[in-house]
Amino acid sequence: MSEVINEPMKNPYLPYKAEIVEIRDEVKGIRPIKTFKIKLIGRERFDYQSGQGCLISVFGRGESWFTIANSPTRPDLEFSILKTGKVTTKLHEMEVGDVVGIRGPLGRGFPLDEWKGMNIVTIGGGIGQTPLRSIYQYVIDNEKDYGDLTIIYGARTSRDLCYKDELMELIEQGYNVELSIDNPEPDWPYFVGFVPDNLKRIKPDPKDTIAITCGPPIMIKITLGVLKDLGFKEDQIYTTLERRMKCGIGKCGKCKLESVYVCRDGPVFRYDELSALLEKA
Amino acid sequence: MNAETLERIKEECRKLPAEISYIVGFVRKQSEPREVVAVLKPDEVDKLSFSPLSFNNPARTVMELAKDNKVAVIAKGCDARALKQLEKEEKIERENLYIIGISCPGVIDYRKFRNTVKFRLAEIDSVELIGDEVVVKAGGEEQRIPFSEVIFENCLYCEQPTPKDYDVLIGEPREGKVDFSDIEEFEKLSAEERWSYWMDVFSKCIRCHACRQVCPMCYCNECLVDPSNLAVSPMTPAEEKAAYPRVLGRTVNAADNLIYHIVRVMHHAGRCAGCGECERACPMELPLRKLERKLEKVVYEVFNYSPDEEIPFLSKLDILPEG
Amino acid sequence: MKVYSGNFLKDVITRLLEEGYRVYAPVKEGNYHVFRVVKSADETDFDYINTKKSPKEVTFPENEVLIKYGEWVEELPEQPDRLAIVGIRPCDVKGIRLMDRVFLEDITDPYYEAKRKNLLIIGYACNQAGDYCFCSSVGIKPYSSEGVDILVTNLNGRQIVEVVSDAGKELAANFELTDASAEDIEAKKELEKKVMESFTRKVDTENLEERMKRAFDSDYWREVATNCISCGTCTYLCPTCFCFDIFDDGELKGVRIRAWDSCQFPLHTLESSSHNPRPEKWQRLRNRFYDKFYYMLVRKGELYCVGCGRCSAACPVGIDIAEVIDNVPSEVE
Ligand code: SF4
Ligand code: SF4
Ligand code: SF4
Ligand code: SF4
Ligand code: SF4
Ligand code: FES
Repeated sequence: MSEVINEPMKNPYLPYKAEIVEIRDEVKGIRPIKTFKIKLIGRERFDYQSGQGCLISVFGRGESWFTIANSPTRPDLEFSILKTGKVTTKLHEMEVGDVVGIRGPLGRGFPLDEWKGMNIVTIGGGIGQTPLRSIYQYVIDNEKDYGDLTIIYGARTSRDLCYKDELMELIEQGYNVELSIDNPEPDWPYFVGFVPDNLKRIKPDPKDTIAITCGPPIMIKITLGVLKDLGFKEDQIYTTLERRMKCGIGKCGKCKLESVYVCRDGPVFRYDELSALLEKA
Repeated sequence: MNAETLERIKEECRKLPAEISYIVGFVRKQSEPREVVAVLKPDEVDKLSFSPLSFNNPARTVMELAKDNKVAVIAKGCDARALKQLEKEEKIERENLYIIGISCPGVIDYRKFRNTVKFRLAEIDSVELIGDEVVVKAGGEEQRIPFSEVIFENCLYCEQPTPKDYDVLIGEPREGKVDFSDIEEFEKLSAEERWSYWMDVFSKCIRCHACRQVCPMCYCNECLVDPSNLAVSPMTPAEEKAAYPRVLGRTVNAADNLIYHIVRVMHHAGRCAGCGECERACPMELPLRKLERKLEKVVYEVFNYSPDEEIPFLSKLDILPEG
Repeated sequence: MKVYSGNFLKDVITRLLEEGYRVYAPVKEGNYHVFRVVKSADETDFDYINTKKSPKEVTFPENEVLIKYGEWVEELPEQPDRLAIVGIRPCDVKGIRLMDRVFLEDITDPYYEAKRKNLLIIGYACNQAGDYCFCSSVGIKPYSSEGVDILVTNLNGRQIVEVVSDAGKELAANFELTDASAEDIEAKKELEKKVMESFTRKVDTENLEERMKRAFDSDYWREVATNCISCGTCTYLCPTCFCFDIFDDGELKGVRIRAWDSCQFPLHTLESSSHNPRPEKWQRLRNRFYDKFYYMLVRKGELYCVGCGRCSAACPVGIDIAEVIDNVPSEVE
């Protein structure tokens, strides 16, 4: 038996050893966000789907769940991490070369295969952009398989936007990127207002389109209303849910939402799946 | 603690002041003879029940309800003492309470009762205390059990069987006593004997935290023995959350359980109402009152403080002269 | 069906200990019984309706080390070779089978599996339902041999032995068992009838899924929770509650532990952002009842309550699962 417990592939509680190879500051200030590029030590990176997560482990502190921030078509693993508690505070203190543990890939990702041939609209707010980034990178890397790509993204201020350089590059390359900030700032050339308002202005056509929205719960709620008004059906809308996670493999019950385990059945959900539940997400 | 007491309670509840919106009293459970605390509207007086199995302390439920309501409460001596303590600590406002005090002869230890009674619980029609006997009636049959066999041990040392503060009192006032003879007996054991006694006790604790949760004095949002902090807000800085002092995780073993209990009990110094809810709540039936009572004794002896003083213990410590 | 002339439960313990098993058996502690690891059959006492704690800790201990770490993983815990539980009641056997579905289905939990696959189960049929028992309402027969290796029934002071599995057969081969007579078989049937009549609790599960679904938003759940203190008593004692927490104990060197958790604790679902999906105690209490009688039914097709009544007997404020479920309103405004 101990053989199984000793093997990372077979003991799902045992993390892979990994190394931080790059750290980028996304957002500074009192609620900082950093993107960590992580490489598994002594093994190939596992295959995964956009939207899936990993538990990052710092022994002595614990583990936290993060959605993978880059596309499986790109090298290594990236995670954008908001400093918010025990594990993330420690991660923010870490440097390139430091070792962390990784368990993953966990959960169900976005059905990008099913979406082939469709137009893709991502609607993100704040750190919620993370899984959406993985989607748009994937769509860009497989451009011929998909229709139009629209990236709608906003944050409170321009300093709170993640992946700024990358987004600017995409704009330069002619991608349809629609940015917004909540309040006016000098020299801000894009939309001012909340993300759902920007969506209302852009009015994506629901025909053959999938909309994916991630961000603060209140933003998601309003966005959902706007999408419905625009004619999107619930089965054209996807989101990711956040819950407290511990085991990440559908055992510990922490992330349970009614009969659904967010870590295992999610974190990606199609809207009609959520509205069928008794307990509202 | 018999049918007559219940009649008196109902009578008082029927003539409550008009501004009272709820009665917190006892209602008999559906499938067994014990009562549970219930929140009733003034027109639901007929649902009330009362017996020596009305052992729970309604103070916790009252504390929640009396925040924005005027509440009548049926309170035994220790229940009223808990309410008083909460009032001293500004958790309850006295003017929101209407206390129907019960002069209490003691309540039954339900565990002892279940082991002694010959009927199935579901068959029992009534349980009354008549004189020194508990009279249990079931389907036309009757069993008489000497009260001393099933009394909740804690009640033997009750300091305040009759509420000190009430709006109406039911029953003749009874004398309480300050009696630590049981603790004195225990103190005679050697340190090793006491240590092994407590280690045995704490090795059985499963850390369900029922003893803390049930205690009317354990109302803190933030507790030292929790692994994280319930009192966080969206504004709490990450560093603060990361630095939250974790005295204990969920490690369950005699040594860590000991810390849990010491932390818990220490915070009751001069505050414990003596209702015994902790001991009654404990699923592992551990002798939790013994710890509490030792501390009470220290507070009496070393600090010359009685929980019935008008000023809270800690405030009194503050104004004690140096030395 | 076989008959053993001695005390089979005790003799089997002696035998298992000789064979090197780690044996869990009921021991009397104060006024109640609990399953403990025993060193000798003399420690045990089989005069009980059921144990205070459920035997779930045999395969799912309250604290379990997952990983010992320093800077990195240093060591993984050894798992026991051979385990046996002797004297377990049919409701709790069902509890183990429900736990199996949580820990072994989908992704296998290797820590659970290590203990479970080496576990021998010697069941003990009930001759009388306790005051809080309602297993018969949730489809369990208190004399069921489902899931055990051997089932023992006390029949007028003699022990009836039903050998169920191959492992049970192997063990039973060490004992002198005689075939049960026709009278014995008849007497056992009588006994079974008597047990079924001894229940004082019933839960109406007719159309329950539908009723639960409709009652979700009812004020009923707030009323039920009036006195709930959000402790862990009900879930910790429950044979089918499986929720756990994982945490690291030790900053530079230590152990990653899993420990029982409870959906009744406000901290259970508290997120680091301070958002809590079930901040109110009535939401948490409702979660427990729905988990057992609806969510798990949807997920696994089975009720996750075996009717042992432990939670009702021990709840400090008298919240009684049998009453609560039985009274779920069928009409909701
Ligand atoms: S109620 Fe009993 S078992 Fe639960 S934590 Fe308190 S002492 Fe331990
Ligand atoms: S139902 Fe009872 S045992 Fe369960 S949490 Fe509430 S008070 Fe505690
Ligand atoms: S919910 Fe209560 S009655 Fe049901 S199995 Fe759990 S402890 Fe037993
Ligand atoms: S969610 Fe609650 S009721 Fe369900 S298994 Fe977990 S602790 Fe038990
Ligand atoms: S619930 Fe059923 S199987 Fe369990 S102890 Fe009671 S009668 Fe026996
Ligand atoms: S995190 Fe443990 S079940 Fe989802």
